[in-house]
Amino acid sequence: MDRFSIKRIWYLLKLDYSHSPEAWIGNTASAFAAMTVLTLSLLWLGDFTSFEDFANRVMIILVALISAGVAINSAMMFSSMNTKPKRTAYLTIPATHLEKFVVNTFEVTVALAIQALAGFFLADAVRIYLLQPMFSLPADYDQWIMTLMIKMLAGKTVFIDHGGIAVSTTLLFFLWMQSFFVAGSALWRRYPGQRTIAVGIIMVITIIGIFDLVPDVSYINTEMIEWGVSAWTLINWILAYRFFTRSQLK
Amino acid sequence: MLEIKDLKFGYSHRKPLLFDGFSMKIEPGRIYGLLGKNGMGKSTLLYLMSGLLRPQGGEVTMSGKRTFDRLPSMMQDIFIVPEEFSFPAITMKQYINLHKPFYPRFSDEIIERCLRDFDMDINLKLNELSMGQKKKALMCFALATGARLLLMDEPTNGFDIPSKSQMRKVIASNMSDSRSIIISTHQVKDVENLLDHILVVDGGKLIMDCSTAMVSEKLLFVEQPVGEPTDGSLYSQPSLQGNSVVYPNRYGEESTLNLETLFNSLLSNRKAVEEAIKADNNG
Repeated sequence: MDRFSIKRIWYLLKLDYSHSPEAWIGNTASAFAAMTVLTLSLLWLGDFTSFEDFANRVMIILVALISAGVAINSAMMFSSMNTKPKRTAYLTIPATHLEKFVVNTFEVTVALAIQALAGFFLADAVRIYLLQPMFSLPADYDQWIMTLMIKMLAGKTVFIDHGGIAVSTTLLFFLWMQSFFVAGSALWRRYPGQRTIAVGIIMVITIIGIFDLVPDVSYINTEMIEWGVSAWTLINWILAYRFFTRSQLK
Repeated sequence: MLEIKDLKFGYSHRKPLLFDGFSMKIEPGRIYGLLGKNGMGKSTLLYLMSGLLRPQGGEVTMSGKRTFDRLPSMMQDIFIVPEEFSFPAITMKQYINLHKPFYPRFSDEIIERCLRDFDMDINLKLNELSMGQKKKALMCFALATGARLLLMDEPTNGFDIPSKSQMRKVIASNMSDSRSIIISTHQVKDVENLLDHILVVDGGKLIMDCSTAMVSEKLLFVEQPVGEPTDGSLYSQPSLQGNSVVYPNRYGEESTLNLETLFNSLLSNRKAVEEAIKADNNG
């Protein structure tokens, strides 16, 4: 009875969905709206030289939007406990801490990714089938930007210019940022996003200060940074789980 | 069933501990009244029992398991009806269907009967109910979960007069030898006739832990007209009839327990009341 139960995971997911079904649809709608506004704005400005130029601009802004989306959703991971009554109800559900944590993790990772991708693909479809005819663009503009993006993430060569920044580094940054906000959400009941940002700023200033004091940092390479960030991400998730298991009413 | 051993707990490091070495046992098959002045920690105790707060010292265990670990097997056995709670925007029927899978001993029959006793419709939207109706709904669910320990914090707040009577009937008809209910309340008149056992908390200590039968055996509760002497009384307070007086029950007389008077007498003259309860009446 106290062992990890997939059945209880399913019941918890149903429960979470029932409490705020609009949030699940809202993420898809937000992704759709953001990308549609973005592509519409770019098409309106119309100062790109080729589809490659257009796609690159969409991608850059999309990465920024995805970063914001990841941060916001991760900071809200434990919003089901942000008031005393909600906290009481959630903590007393007969499920293990791990089950509750897995469900919340699923919602801000897999579920969020699916919702966002659905929104982005829908927006891409609107661009191809509605907006491009409106703007009378050349035939080669009817390529799916989202498909190109996924190919790039999978390491396949595409024309999209990611400015020399390694895709793996970008993904690692997203994962670290997500874990950082998740830890903040587990630690602080109120204003987790704002507090996490404040701590983040302090940490960045501290790290810059430390590097300023160290005489020679040329031995630090990208691989070392990636390993360091990966470890930090793992620590954040462990901390988040620890904070969650020690959640209480006060 | 539930045991609290040498509990230490406080909300702030800057203030004295609310509980410092507090101990208590809850046995099955009883309805407990948990009484105390404002700020004495009644709600806090209920939260500690249900695993919602972590003791800073000592332990709170249910069948040997720490409540703060919040294991599913333990949480299926404890249900708290807090003073303040919120419902999502769903019907009672949907709420039941979503939550009952977490309680293997959940009884559809009991919840239907309780809702009927409270004159509540299962298809009502929970977030549109009044506070009293929400309390009734949650109480019905609590009784149907099959939890062995039910904790209720001010359950009659928001209840109209008929509802208080309905509540007493619903609770009494859903008691069993394996279940215990702890009712924390200031509205003692609402639950007086329901209680088997009285717990009074004051200054971080349990100053009374006694069955109502024992209290009625050892103390005599009398309504006296104004002006009538109260010599030998443990406590006296004005009432509508004159004075409510508490005497040691030296001759085994029967009287109706007056919880309010008992509570006040304990706070005003604790030592004498304790001695009267401990005293041997044969002599």
